[in-house]
Amino acid sequence: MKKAVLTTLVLGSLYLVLSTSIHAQTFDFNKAYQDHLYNLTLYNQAYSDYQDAKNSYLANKTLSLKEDARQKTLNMLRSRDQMMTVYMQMLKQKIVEDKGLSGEDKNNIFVKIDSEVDWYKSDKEKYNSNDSLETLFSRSDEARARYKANTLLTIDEALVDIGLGEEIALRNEHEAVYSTLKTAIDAGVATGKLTRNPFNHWLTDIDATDSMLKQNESDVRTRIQKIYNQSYSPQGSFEASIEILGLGVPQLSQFNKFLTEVLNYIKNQQ
Amino acid sequence: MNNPEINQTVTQPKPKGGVTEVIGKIKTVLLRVWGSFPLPVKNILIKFYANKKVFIPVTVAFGLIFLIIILGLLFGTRSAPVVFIPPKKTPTPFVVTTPIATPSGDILSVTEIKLKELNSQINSLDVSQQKLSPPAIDYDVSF
Repeated sequence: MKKAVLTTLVLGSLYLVLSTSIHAQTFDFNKAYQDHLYNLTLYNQAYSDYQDAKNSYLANKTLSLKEDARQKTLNMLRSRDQMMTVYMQMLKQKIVEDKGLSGEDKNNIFVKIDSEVDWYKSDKEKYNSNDSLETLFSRSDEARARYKANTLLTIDEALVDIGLGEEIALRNEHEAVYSTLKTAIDAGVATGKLTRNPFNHWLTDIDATDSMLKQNESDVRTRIQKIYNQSYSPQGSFEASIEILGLGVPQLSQFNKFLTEVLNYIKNQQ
Repeated sequence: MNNPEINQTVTQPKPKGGVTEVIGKIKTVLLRVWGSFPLPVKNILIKFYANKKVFIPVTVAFGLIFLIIILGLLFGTRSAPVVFIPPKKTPTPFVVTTPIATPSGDILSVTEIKLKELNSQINSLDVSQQKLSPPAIDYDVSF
């Protein structure tokens, strides 16, 4: 009876401690990024070991050095798959936490990221401890083909989406401030503290800046999709998309500057 | 006054065995209820009734509880004030939003701070996401 009570108490405490610690470790982008850095370190170490083993074997082609090189190659390839899985998951988490992208935007890229994650997970599982060096080289070529044909395009699109989401979020926040200022102007005009002039002209210019930002976002969306069009170079499409995204930064600064100017004017009139 | 019909009506005796009839009806209802119980439940109840050491205390305890409830309902002070404790609000997450404009003018100071924050965010924008660049991978694995 005493044993049963003691066992129950111990198990209960263990459950409480574990459940608390699990709850505390919420998965967010920071955690995903740390995981990525950790796995990148593991891969770099595995790659360094592979290079050393390869060079040793090439310098002295013995059976034992060949076996060592085979094992190090296998380890490096597994680490590479793991690192790519975690990297893709990190990109996904970044987009999950994005405030600018719509649900549709997110779902479109999630499908592609998930597909890559599945591929690398599956590829890692396929490695056999007894795989020959030739098999490992062949498997690495498959991974290279996958990376070039799918993974890189998905990464490029995800990175552009992340930048786009940041710009949209900032535009949305400026629009909220703009709305507040317009309310303040209306209130000031109603009480006679302010007049419609010069706000009418200023607001027109601010609206134009806002429209330019939206147009820029639309251009980025269109441009990045050309990455999948064989008529365009993927690298070129990625760089062009980043360039268009870059145009949004001075426009956002302009938006901010205009709003600050309106704000200062209202303050000076009161 | 001496109408025999009236006398007959007034002095008409109650039907014999009225209480017995009511008891009979109650019995019938109870038997119906008893009949509707599944056999395992019946067995448990029979065993429970047979074990007087358990049945009597349990029945007495429940009887007392019911008695107290009934007495409470009959004589309890209904005017006792009901203290309503408002449920504690779940703390709302801190969300940075632009406050609604107020005639006081404070909103302008808040907006000024907000615009400075946004400007700082614009200046720290990295559109090419250097921090998240794909890792350099050497796919030339052969020797």
